[in-house]
Amino acid sequence: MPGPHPPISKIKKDDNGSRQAGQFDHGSHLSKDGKTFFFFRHFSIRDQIYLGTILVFFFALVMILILILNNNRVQKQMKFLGFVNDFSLEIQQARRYEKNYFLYGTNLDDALENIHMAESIFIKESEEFSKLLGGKQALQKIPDKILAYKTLLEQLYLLETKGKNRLSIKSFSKEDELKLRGFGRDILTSAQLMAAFEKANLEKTLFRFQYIYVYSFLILLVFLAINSYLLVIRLYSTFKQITIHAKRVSSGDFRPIILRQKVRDEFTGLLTSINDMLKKLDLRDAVMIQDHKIKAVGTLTAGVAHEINNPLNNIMLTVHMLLEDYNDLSKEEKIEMLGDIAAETDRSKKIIRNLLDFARESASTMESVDLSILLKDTLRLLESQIRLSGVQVDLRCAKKIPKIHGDAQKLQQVFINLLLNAMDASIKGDKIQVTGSLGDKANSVKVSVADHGEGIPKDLLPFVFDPFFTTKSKGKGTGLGLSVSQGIIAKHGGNITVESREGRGACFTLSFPIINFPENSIFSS
Amino acid sequence: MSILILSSENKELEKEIGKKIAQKLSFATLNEQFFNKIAARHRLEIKKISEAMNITPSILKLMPAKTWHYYLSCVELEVLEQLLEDRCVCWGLAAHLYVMVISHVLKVRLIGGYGSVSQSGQFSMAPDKMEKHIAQQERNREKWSMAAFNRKEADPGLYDMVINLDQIQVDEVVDTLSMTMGYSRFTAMTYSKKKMADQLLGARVKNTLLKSLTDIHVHVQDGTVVVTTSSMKREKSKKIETIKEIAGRIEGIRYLEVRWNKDIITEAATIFR
Amino acid sequence: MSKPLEILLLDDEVIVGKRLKPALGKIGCAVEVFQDSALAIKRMQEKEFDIVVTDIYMDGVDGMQVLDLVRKKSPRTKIIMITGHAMISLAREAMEKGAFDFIAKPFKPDDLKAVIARAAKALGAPIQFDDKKVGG
Ligand SMILES: Nc1ncnc2c1ncn2[C@@H]1O[C@H](COP(=O)(O)OP(=O)(O)OP(=O)(O)O)[C@@H](O)[C@H]1O
Ligand SMILES: [Mg+2]
Repeated sequence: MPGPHPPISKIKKDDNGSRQAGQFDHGSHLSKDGKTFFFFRHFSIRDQIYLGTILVFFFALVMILILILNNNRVQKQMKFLGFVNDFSLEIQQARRYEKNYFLYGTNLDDALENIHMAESIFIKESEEFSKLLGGKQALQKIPDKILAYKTLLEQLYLLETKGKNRLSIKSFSKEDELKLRGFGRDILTSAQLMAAFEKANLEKTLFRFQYIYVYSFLILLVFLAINSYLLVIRLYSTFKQITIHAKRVSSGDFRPIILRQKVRDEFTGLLTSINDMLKKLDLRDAVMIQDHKIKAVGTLTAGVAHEINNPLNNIMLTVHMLLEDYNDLSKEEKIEMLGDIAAETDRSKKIIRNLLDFARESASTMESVDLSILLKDTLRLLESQIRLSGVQVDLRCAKKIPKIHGDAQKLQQVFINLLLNAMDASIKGDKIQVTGSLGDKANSVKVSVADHGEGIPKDLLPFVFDPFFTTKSKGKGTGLGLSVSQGIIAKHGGNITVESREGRGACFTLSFPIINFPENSIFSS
Repeated sequence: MSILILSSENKELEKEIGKKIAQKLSFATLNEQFFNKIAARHRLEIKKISEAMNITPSILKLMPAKTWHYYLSCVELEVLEQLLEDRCVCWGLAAHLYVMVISHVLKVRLIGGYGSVSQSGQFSMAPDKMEKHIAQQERNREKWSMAAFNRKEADPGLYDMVINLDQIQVDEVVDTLSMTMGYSRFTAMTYSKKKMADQLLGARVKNTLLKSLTDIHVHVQDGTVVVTTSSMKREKSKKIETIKEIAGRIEGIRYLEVRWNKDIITEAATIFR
Repeated sequence: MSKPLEILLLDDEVIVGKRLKPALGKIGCAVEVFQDSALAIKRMQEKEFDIVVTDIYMDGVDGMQVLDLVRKKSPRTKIIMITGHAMISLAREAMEKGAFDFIAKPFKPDDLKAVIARAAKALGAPIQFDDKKVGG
């Protein structure tokens, strides 16, 4: 997983600016991450759910309020419609009596009573009426007309009670009668107009009800949908990231998980515990790598102890011959012999230094590593083992393989493991092919170790990278070699694969990403 | 041209087999009787020598660890001196524990065979009691050999051959071993003789140093002597000096090095950093 | 001293031959030096040597195979193994296969001379060699 390198950006924040704080540095970035989490706002999933629920609640409340208000209005309008109806009924009645009076001379007092009632209704609801009739001016019209109508009726009534006969009524002119009737009709039409208007209003309000119902339901739906979408997105993306990390961890890369989180939530807590766990695993892993290295150093030391005997023997023979024949030797011969001693001393030193370089306890340093040189050194370190096993190791490196970013000692440990495995599987005279080349994928380097030994049976192939899986006898193999190697390679962002056919040999291929930062700018990327 | 070393809990049969083989091959024998000579040469008590060969020092035992180590070192030195001579059958001296690396020594472990001994009344115990007794004895020997040489005496990996006396008759064992001794595989050569000489030199250095010091380990390769020791830090340089002075007087040392053993705990603490 | 002792010295380390040839020459040996075991074997087909001195771990044919070949071809030839990888099992194997002696590297020229002197004696053609210095 070459992708972005989260830890590096974290290291940038590290003030002491230690360059070695690479992937093998355990622990230090964890605490830092812990701290950075606190810079985030706290917005947990629970908060999001609560917030959503509260919003829905408020929305519902507002909806209910609106509905109640609307309902009130309808009620009022209905009531008023009732009044208008009463009013127009009274007026109608009054007119009917008034008509009766003119035809038969009866019911005048009834008409008067009705018009009084109408007036009182009107006055009581004058405000509503005025609203309906539009302004004070309009309001004045109906009471004026009522007043005029009432006055005329009262005059008529007065005349009748004075004259006590029908004749005197004649003095109530035809003109007045017409006027009275006109007023009555006017009032009635106004009242009917009002009723119609009010009815239309009511209908409108009822229609609005429908709208409010439909829209608020729709809005509620949309809101719920958005809320769950956000929630799902949030959960899904986090789970996806965690899954990717988990896969990485299972391949042995124990760098802490760093999620691209903007806020602190439940996952932050989960992550902190996972990272704690990773830290422990990483430590255990480091111990395992170290254990295995100690074993490898033991193997190599035994080899080197023998290997060094060759130059030592050369020195010893030369020195003794020099002592024995000192006086008989020519100057040139003496110089040649001393030169041999110097050269053989150098050779011994190299043999030992190679081992010491590997055995040295060092803080893991990520540096730019030339794989072809490292492979050559590794073969020299294994010279004695190679010689003893009688295999031939052929190293072929492409002309210019780019350097990679890594821990040379740990990488050497991997190569040693692979080569020792290959030698264990081979018999005398077999060939082991070590190849370094550009990878198939762009920006990657490939190293493969192929042997023609016994190979790995198909049913065992899935287990070779498991810790403690070994087919070797108890004292010989611990079964940690490949598992440790896989861990180391994963920490370099690379991977290790194996192909094998039983009886034909096995080929282990490592691939590393080329991370090509110029010197010192590692942390600014 | 070779040496046979027998090791067994069954002292009777071990002795019988050893004697028979020596007779057959006309080899010399080397066993507990040799304690006489050791005692005489080092002015020690014979009784104490055989005590040291059998008990492991502890707080309750009378022999202090220092004395114990010294006695063992005297035995080792004298036995190695004898083994230098070749053509020898050796038993009952735990000698296989210090000639591990020598190729012309055939190391044989004899196990079992208790039932077959009838002439001496020593083993006329009930079988289950007997088993317990043997197990106890083996535990004691393991403790002893761990304390003395840091190896388990009964570990089959230390031997070239392990023979079960319950399954093979004494005479057959004698024949088999005599024949095996005849393999050229077990003849002495420059390489193994040199190793033997190194071993002897080491034993001598150790013996000399143990006269006055404790906690001494000696490794010799090709005349190069490496003495490893440990002690309190402030006595360090003094002790090293003493070792150099004492060992320097011993003949045959080509090069002497004294090494300081770090104490185990700090070593363990630094190893995983 | 009638005829010099014929010795073949095989070791892929150049210096071993370079130093031992004159050293052994001084005690009356005619030494032929080889670095490549194939060439040495070819030479051994042509000529029977009294003594063969060989290294064990070499590229191609190794010392143990040389030992087998020589034992088969000329049983009277004494073979001396020299190796930097001396181990108890290897030593025993070499002796079992009929090596005359087995010497671990590093060794002094006199160590080898002493062994050769012994071999010469065993061959019935003793050579003059002062054995006193050995083991000092
Ligand atoms: N090149 C190979 N050819 C055949 N089998 C192999 C090869 N490499 C590994 N294996 C198999 O995989 C197993 C595990 O290898 P691994 O390196 O993990 O442990 P090991 O070699 O057994 O022990 P250790 O490396 O600790 O000495 C081996 O026991 C062997 O069966
Ligand atoms: Mg392995």
